[in-house]
Amino acid sequence: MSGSGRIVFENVSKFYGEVLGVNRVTISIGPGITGLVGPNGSGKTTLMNLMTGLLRPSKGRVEVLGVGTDDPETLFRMVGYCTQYDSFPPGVTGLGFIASTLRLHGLSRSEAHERAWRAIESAGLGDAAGRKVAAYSKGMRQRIRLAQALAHDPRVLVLDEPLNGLDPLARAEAIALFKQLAGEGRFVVLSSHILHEVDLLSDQVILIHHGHVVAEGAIRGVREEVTEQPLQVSVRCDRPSLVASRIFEVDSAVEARLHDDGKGLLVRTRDADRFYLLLNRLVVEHGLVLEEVAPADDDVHAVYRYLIEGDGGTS
Amino acid sequence: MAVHDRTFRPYAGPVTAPRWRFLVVTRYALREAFRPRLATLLFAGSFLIPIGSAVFIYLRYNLEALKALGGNVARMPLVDSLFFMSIMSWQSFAFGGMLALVIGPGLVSADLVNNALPLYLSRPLSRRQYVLGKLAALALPLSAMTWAPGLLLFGLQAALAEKGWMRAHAHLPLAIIAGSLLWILVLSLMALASSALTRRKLTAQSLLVGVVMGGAWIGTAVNGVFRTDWGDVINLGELMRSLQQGLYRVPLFSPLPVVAPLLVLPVLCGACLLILARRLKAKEVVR
Repeated sequence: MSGSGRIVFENVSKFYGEVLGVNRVTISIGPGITGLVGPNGSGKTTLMNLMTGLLRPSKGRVEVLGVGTDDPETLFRMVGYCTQYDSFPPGVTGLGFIASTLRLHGLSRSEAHERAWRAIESAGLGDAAGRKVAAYSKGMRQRIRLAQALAHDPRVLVLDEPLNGLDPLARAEAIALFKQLAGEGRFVVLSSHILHEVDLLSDQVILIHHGHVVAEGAIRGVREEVTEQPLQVSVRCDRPSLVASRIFEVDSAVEARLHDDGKGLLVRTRDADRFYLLLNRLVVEHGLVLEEVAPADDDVHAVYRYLIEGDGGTS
Repeated sequence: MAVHDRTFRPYAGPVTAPRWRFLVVTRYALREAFRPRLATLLFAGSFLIPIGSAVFIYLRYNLEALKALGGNVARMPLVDSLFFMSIMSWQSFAFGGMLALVIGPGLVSADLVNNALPLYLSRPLSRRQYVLGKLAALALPLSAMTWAPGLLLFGLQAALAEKGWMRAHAHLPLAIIAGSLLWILVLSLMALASSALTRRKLTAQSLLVGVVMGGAWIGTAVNGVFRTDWGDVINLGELMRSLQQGLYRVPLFSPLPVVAPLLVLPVLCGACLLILARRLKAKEVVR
């Protein structure tokens, strides 16, 4: 298998009896932030569990940085996993929880406690370190889970719905942290239902539906691949009706819809480059004053709609 | 395409040997297991018989002290294989059984109910090590209650007894260790399996009692109906008694041959391991 410096799934299938988990997944994940996107039950968590060796594939092979997932001793030196389940061993305190997980990583008592303190303080839970996790709020429990995933300094972070339950400030801090970790060259693989956050965070996305990988790659590249859906371009200018009247000179244009305020329009076209050339011509020949030209549907949300919800309408 | 600095350097310090990593699970399991006072009381109480036996052995060879207490050595039972077998039976079956019943069923069920297995198994820890860790949490206190004091008593008796006693009873250390360890293994595996099977401590405790008592009742019924002794192969107490008789070389009380427990107990352990292998999974899939 190639790609020892990447997370590689090679023709991986996972069936739970007769129920499909994921089917024939072949992907390669590089450093940076990778967002797993898909509806409930699409196979995101299955993919993460396969990546962390908690599930074994029915077929195919998974390797994380060249290490097979059936070797927990080596694998979990590199991987930190934050599951979506709000579950902890009974009666454990925040500090005890992280220290015990670090002891399982083979750290000495003093090293484990030092790192546990560091992790707990970086999660903003220093005051609650000695309290039982069961008495934590949902947001605190989410933060302690994140802290345990990070405490042993893993190179690969697998985070299942890591922003769930966090208040806006904690979300912003978590997002900044993920970006910082990715900036250090780590692999951050996360799933989220909140598409704008995935969009904000991810260097690349993997879209999953019914256990199949529908698309993967940088989001703009994925959007360009969806050729059956015309691209939407939002244009703010002084004479939108002029643009609307000329747009169909370009045979790839599909639709032009004027904004309600009369200061712009939304164009759907199968060839964005030709549309941009037309705009240039209008600026030169008619003195059109452009305020803004921006793609309106090259985000995760649009791609999700087109590929997973099968929505062909305009936004 | 994002550009990354690749400044990350992983932890490169020393780590403990993987083969002993299961003891971390044991340590935390023990802390939880002995949280109820009953477990601590049982554990402490289990030393009464070994302490009493040590006093008995001492007095048996210290006639002045015995006389001062009004005792008579002629009326004192011999310290022989039967003596040791009786002590170890009390320690193993009575105290060990009760302690296993109190702490064993909660060892795994608590993690299953709290869905904590993924947390353990997303570490450098295999399912085998997890089971070993939990098993050790039961095996360590049971060892402290059984073969450890048994060996100390044997050492005391050997030191005080007349010449030739040790040679005549050279089989006892092996009998104490092997008999105890086998019982500890069977008991611990049964406790863990019942814990994994039912996911509720009280139900697991009932199941454990049910298997031991039910086996005895059914075995007795089979013996009565079919006029045989082979019904005892499902009677755990009888199986262990038969094994102990073989190990301690005492006259037969049990009608079962020593080969019976040697055949049945591995099957029982295998069944428990099978249950653990099927129930202890990192991810539970709801279909």
